[in-house]
Amino acid sequence: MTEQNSPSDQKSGSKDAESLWEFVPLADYHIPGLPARSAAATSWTSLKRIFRRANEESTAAVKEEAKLSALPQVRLKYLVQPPNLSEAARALDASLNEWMLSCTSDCPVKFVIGQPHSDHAEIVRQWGLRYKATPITPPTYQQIFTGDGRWFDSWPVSDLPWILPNLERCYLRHASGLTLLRELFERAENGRLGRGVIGCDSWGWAYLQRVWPMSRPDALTLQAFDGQRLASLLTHLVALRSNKRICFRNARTGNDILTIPGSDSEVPREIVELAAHCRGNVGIAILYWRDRLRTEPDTEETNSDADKKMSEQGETDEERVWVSAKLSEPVLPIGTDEYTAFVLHALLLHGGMPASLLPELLPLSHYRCMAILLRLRNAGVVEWKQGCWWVAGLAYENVRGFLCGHDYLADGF
Amino acid sequence: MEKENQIAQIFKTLDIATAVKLASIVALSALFIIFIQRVLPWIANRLHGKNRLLLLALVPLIRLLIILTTFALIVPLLIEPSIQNMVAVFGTVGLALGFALKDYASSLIAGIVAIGEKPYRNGDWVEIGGVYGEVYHVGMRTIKIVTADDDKVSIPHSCLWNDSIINANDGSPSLQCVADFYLHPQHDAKQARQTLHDVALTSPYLHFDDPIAVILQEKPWGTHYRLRAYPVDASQQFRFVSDLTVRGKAALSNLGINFVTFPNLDGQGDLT
Repeated sequence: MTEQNSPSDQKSGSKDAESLWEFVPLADYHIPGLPARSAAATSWTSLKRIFRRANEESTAAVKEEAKLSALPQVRLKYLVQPPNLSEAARALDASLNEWMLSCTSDCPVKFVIGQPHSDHAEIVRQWGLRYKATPITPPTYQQIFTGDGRWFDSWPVSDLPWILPNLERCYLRHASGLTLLRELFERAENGRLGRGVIGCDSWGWAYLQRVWPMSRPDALTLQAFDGQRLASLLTHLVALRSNKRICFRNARTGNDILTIPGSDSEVPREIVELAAHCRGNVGIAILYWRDRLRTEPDTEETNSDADKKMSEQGETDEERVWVSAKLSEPVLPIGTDEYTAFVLHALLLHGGMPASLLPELLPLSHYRCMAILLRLRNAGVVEWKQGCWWVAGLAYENVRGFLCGHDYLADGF
Repeated sequence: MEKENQIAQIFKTLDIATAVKLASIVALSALFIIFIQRVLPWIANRLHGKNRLLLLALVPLIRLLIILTTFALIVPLLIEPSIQNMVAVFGTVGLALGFALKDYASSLIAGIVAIGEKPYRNGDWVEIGGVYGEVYHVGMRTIKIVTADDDKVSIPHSCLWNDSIINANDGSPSLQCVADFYLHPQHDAKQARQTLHDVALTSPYLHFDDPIAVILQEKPWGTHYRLRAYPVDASQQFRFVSDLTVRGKAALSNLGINFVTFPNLDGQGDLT
């Protein structure tokens, strides 16, 4: 059986992990930088990408890595556990503590802005649980279109705080889709809704700043995970077996990236580069990390084998996991046109949406939208889950770069 | 006999080595010009916005530099490089051009002026003599424009001397578009203005860094609304105006606002 860290280790580990999460005002967000050599390499890659066809890049693989295979889910489950968002909620609470204790009504609402795939809504929900805050469900699309004010009946009449974790789900980029949101801002800013915390996706926030121009320097966001923080977090995400060291090793160079348990040494270049590539977005960084982990074919395990192996102890002292040197990102298909850009932009601005709504917002027919979405899905750029289409985590950086490069409105991160 | 000697003194004797040198210089220059005219637009079309326009605008400038360099290399091979000889040769050539190829020479000179003054560059959207389109080639004698109907029009540079040149974006990717709406005078103008503003704000083509403006003017036949906004890219202007018009009409109809169908003052109404 696999084992978690011992309780005392867990306690101290939890404390360390908690300090990794920090909420700061938007202006204090620091995008992690790259060492000069890596920055030059990144610029060269970007330049090559302008002239290269998409399918050339996707087929290029590191020769040595071709021999390695992806890890089975069961090993991934132990090597990269989902981050504990209650620690993030505690960090948010620390940032909101002063505001919660103050009795003035100058600032009845606090905004928490999160980048895509960084789970801002869940963090706000978990914070709300600590105060028994009333969670507000976003209005239905019909309510948004008709500006149905009955939605405001769902606000609590008591003095308890409320939370609205998904502000990006409360509007539509349509001439009839902004009324309810403006009404919400007016009521919330005036204090008519009481005290609450609103979570919003960074892309939706960028757009809403144009709809309801307001200066909110106090809006909070999760501080970027630079190399140091990311290395610590990835270490915490590993569920250790008591007597085994786990060594994450670069598949190209053979250098050790992380050794767990290990001494706090210099942050490996690979992790610094990963943090910079993800612009400090922890959710995306974890997705990349999971995607890059490899194993040698002869040690490949089936799920049952792996479980069996996990239950045996003391066989070896070190478990070696290879980390692919290449970021295998989905590339936008050849001939990505302005309509594809519209679809991707709409998905980001609304934090994902059902295909049936796209024709209402874009100058495209339903069939055209579906054709674009399916093409993007085949390329791995978008995915369909929970009834909505989303920009896939591994494709996010490419999509963001594409939209920014074409002068579309982008988030401030 | 003396005159013949004087002319012979101006020009150098053209031996085979010089002829080969001349031919090589001309051929290399021509190749270089062709290379620049193909490669730079190819690269530019893979970029976007300012970078694209900057690269496109460099093409005629580099070509002019190549031509001047070629000229500077060729002239000393053909004539003795003294001031007296230069004045004599260029004076004669200038006189011949002035009489025989006046319009051609005028366009060539205007082409050089255009590179300096930049009334139009590659990638600009211009209207010259009633023709509106995107400049896709600035040649030595003419510019070439592609219209919205995909017609390609050549216009001599000499239009600079007499015609007015309307440049919609002037080297920048921003280009203002205007969608017109003609409404029945009986309506809530405040609501209509806010709705049209939202129509622009929600258009997927909108470039957010530029302002949106709704201008309205009362006319004898109704109210004329002009919705002004900027698309993300200048090439989207026609689709952007169409999008504003389609969604603007739908939004105004939802408000129960009627459109003017025809000026009701026996044609005296001014629709502009």
